[in-house]
Amino acid sequence: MREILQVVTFYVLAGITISSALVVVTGKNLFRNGLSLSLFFLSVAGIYFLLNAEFIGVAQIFVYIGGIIVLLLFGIMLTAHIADPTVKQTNEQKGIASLTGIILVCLLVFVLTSTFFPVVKHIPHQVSTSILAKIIFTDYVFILGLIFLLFLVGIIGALILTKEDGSTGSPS
Amino acid sequence: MISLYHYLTLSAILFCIGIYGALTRRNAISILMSIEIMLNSVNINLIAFSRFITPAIVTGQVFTLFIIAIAAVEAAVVLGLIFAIYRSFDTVEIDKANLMKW
Repeated sequence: MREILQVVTFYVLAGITISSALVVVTGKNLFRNGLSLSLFFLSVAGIYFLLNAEFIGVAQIFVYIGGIIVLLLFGIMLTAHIADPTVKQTNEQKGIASLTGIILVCLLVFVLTSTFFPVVKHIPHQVSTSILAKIIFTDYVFILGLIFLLFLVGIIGALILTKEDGSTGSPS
Repeated sequence: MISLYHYLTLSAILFCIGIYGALTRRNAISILMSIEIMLNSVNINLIAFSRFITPAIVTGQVFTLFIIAIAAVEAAVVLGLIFAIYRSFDTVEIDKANLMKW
């Protein structure tokens, strides 16, 4: 029973993920693409829950849907003419790009399925959040500090890029 | 029974959908959305490897957490960039934001 449920859940989530990603890259209406991207993030969070990564799934929902989608939708509404149906959304490289994508996916799937990975037979029953916290704050605390620095630099950079005084490059 | 290879195939398909979107779209925000799709596909890959090969050591999940943080900062900075481009060129279509002579 559990096996059947796992298989069905995986295929449903994979179907929703792939179809919403296709809507994002081929849709004409930008706002619909943004909302389809939020459905994509939600189904990817579902896949994380299926892979015993509950903390990452919840972090995905918070950061991506709660932060990045809001930013993207604000960006779409402030900069694009989404109600204009005559604006072409794709450039002239559609043929080569789709050929590249199809060749790349065939190559990746062929290489990945013909590689032997030492898969563990027995998955231990564990809560991922406590193990994650124990590792991040002891073994990977240096990288955590670098992420803090990255956030600081990102905030300062975003503030400087959106300054309105007409001389965004010169130091004051 | 869902094995590691199912998740790797899903990740490869999503990555190629992201690549197609990043190479094809004209609007800069659509390109940003395709890049987010690519980053999420890599995250699925990492967490699948972490769960199937070393389930007691969650290094893949740590890596994924950092990629999520980096993607958030990158989205904010790229949107600032897009606003600056919009202010200069009055469009966000990247083939029109062109100051080159030829």
